[in-house]
Amino acid sequence: MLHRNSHTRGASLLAHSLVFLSVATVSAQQATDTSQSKPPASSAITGRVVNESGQPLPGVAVSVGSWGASDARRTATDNEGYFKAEGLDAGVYRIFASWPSYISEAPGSFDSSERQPLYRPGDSVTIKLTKGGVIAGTVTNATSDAIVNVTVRAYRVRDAEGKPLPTATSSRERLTDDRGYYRIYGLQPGSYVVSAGGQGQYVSGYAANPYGNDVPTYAPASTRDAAVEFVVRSGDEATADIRYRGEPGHSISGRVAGVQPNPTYIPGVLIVDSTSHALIATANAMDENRGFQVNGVPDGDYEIAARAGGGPNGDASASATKRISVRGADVTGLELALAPLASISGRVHLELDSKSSCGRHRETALRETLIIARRDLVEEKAETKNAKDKSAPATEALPFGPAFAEAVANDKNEVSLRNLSPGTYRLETRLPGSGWYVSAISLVNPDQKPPVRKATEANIARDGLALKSGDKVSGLTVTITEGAASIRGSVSVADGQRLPQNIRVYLVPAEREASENVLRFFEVGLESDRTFTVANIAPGRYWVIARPAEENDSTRVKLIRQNSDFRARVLREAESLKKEVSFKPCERTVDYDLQF
Amino acid sequence: MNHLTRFLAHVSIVTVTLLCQSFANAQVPDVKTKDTGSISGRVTVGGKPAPGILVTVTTSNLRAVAQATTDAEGNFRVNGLSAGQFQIMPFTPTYVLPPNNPMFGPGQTINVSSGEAVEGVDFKIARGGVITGRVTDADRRPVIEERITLLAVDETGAPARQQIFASRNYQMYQTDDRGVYRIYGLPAGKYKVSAGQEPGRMAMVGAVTGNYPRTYYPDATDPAKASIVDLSEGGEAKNIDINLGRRGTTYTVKGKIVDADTGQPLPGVMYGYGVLQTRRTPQNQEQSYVAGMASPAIPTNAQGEFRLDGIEPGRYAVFVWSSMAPANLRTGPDVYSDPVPFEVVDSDVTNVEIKARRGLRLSGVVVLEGVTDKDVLARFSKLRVTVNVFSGAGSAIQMMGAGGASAINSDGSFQIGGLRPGRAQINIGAFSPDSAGFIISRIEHQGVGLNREIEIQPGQDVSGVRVFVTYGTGVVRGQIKIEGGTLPSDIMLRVALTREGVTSGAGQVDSRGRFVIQHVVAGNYEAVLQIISLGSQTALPRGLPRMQRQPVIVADNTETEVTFTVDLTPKEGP
Repeated sequence: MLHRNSHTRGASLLAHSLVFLSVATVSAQQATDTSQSKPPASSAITGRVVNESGQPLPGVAVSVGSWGASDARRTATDNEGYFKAEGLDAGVYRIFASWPSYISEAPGSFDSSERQPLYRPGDSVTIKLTKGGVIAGTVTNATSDAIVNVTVRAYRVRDAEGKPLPTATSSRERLTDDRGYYRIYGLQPGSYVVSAGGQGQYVSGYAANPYGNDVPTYAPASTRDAAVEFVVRSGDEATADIRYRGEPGHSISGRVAGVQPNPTYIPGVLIVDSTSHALIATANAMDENRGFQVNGVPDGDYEIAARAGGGPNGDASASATKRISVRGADVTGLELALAPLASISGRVHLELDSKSSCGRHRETALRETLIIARRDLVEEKAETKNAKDKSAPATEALPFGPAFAEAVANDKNEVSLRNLSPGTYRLETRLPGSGWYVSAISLVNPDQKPPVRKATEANIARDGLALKSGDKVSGLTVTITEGAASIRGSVSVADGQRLPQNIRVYLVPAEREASENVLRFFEVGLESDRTFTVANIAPGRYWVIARPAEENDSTRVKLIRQNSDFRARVLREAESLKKEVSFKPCERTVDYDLQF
Repeated sequence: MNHLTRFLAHVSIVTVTLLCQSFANAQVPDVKTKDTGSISGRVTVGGKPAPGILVTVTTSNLRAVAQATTDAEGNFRVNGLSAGQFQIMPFTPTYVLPPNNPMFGPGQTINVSSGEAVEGVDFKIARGGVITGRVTDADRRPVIEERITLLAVDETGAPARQQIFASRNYQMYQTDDRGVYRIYGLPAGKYKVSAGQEPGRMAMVGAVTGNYPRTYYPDATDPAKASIVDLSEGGEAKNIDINLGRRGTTYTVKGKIVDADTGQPLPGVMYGYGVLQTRRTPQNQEQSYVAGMASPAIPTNAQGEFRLDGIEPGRYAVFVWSSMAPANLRTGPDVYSDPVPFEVVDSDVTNVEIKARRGLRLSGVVVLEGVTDKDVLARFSKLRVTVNVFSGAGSAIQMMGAGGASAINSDGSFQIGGLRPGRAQINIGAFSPDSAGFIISRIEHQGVGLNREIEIQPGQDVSGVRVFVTYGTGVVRGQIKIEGGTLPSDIMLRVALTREGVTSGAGQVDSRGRFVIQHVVAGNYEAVLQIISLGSQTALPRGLPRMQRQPVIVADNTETEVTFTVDLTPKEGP
């Protein structure tokens, strides 16, 4: 029986940093932006949960949560697998279905290019759950004695296609039984490494852990670099035995300093492996000096940061991420200074157009518009910084805490994005329907002395918004306008030629004066049948081009709105090709043939 | 529960411990003295030495302090201990510690004096047994993450007196993805094994799928028909399979929260619910009360509507719970309500109306007396004033103290809103060991001294409360001598310091009969020893006084010694 709020104090940092592997995301049958939903008179979202064979699953917990997820409606499927979440206010919702040992067909990672589907009252959805994979095995020592009650966890290092993951995510930890046997179930398909021993992730120093000072042993019997990867498929079981070495590790200790907005929150410290970005340990700074200690750390490079507070309504504070190395000795005396996180607030403007017929959901458009601030994971200036400078703020992503914040405007059109770690943020929107487009994102500074340069209006859409600790930026203005156009087509290639992989379609403005307006640049990947759809397009003239995507590193695609060099190049290429398309308000172009 | 929920439950135990008022009088190891204390002893299995066993020492709050491993002879020695009260036990998940006095928890409780070498702390452990099996439902499918409950029984199948199975592995009480469970490290004995839950026993949130009815191995819902599992020492009972029926149906409860005076719906109000139970008062009357409180932590919507999903058949009460949200996040009105009863039988319940009234305010000032030490002053500033309000004896349904807390402002003032009328008990506490040593010496309101309680009348705020706090630096250390016999294992000894009828401190007596009470404010007290019988049977001599008193004078920064003697010599006949 839980009193929810008292728990967020100590554990909210985990709510941010954990990947909920037991909670599924949804793969929808319908894309939300092509609104086939009923008018907002209905206040329910209904659906059905089935397994991989299409059979209904009864008794599955379904959570329907609005964007903030603080007031998720919980319900369960009936004997036929149907569920219904009623009495929902107008707005956009996410749906999670979870059942022990089952997983969903995850549409993707938390990468910015993959989006979780959003639903609105009146929608109906089918959710498919499949049996997750299992890794099981026995942990013994060199003389074949069972290692009892040791924590074991599996890190997912590749996805189902074998592609390495930018961040290795950890399964929950399981304890071995009296025979040294453990079992981790409900795993997403992919490749895993498995380790036993060490402090474990959720230790607060409150329980004696005889393996707490040991360096974790990875299956079959090694440190991380020689760990064997185990391939796990849905519904399959892989065996990973571990010969436990029990070599002592070193400790990382220090204290958390700095101001907390709410002193009742217990700060937490997270340590992440620099290479795999896997979360290797957490600790709570519970004593009166807010000291912390993590034991059993193997030699290696790590990043460490402290965080306190958070949750959907609370104010959080976080320290800068420090880079540390463990090389044969304890690391002591670390000081992690908490600093308040930044926030952005402002207003969302709706521009209605009585002549337009394509902007649906007018009455509820404001509540169905999601404003997202997403932190750049790679800064263009990063390469020039000295990576050995330990006191410099992390130039890589803070691996802890979400890299984005989202909000929906309230009844007064006000929107507030809170608890943002330092970095550069891009603003994105999820729009109520395909008939709307974002016409402006700007920062209106009421104190700014005239003359206000017009260039400042386009700045944050193009360059993002740089935030430092404690910045409270106000005056954000997002304008969404009725009358967006859309285009649907397919990419064709000349006879005898093959279409390269990873082709993306880019729309760039043809008007010269719009070349700096990133809100006029659009891009989309191809479906498997070579078709593409771009919606929410601002009316005007465009060049269109199909070309291979470029990558920042092996895991992230360059986005045209974020990368100015790339944008300029694509603009030049599209201009020279001269494939022009023009869009009037609400115009829908279908069957467009784009030649590669 | 998923893993995060389980960790949150673990953290909550810690958080609740810190919130507990008893922390003000807790036995916190004194870090100022040198840590040269030690505890040594021997671990044996069946009379033979047990080598390689880890022995751990923790504080009373289970915070790890030190550990040692037994050598080839089974001997161990844990060094580097400060003065204080510790818990020491072998960490042996596959072995069983001997059953002992539940007041000490697993292992032994030792009060170590500064630099003391405590010897002879021996442990006789036994090999633990295993019970394992599989849980399936009516369709023969595995039931996953279902909790197994073990009930130790005697030869007749009635519950045995001691039911504590110390375990560091909560996961083993839950079935895995195959429906299989394996519980190890169990003492030899007879058990009834069950899964599922009695409906309507607990207020739950988030468990919308309905529980299976409690079913005992192999498939009995009546515990009298349960098969008894006989486990030998170190034995394994296999195939203890349980066949659960079908999950119970759950229902939805809906209603509105309105202003009691105007009838207007109130949006943004937090609410909770609990199970309705009854008990007999000392006046032999039936009194209903709300047991346990849970809340979905979702405020009423714009129409003032609330809903509870996943409610099993049973009797409950729903009520406003403003203090569910932290003070700085409360957006709705500060209100309270009486608990509104409802019953779920076989359908949804709608139209439950909760009438809410404006929460009452209790405000005043905290005065710290007799302290100049800067460290103590700094710790004082972190304290919070907490108020628990108990509904009056005449209430139809009693509720656990729902109250609130307030920080102490720099001028010493405090204010707590959203309170209900009733008996308000005022305490000071904090979320850290900082509160240890601070004690409310007296409370005054309108010139009248109070015993930490103030009556809040309906509709009336209370202001001008003066809470006087002092800081104690005295220590009372003592020994209870048992003569003429040994103390039975179901007897608990407790020592408290009282002054003018108010308890100013208490101490737990350890395995050696020693106790320490720290942070006592200077003054004249009575030390009271209570002999408490935990079981129904007791082997104490007839006519043995269950309480003893002694005067004690406590001075600042001084230790005072107290000795009690309990004479267990059997008395001659009448």
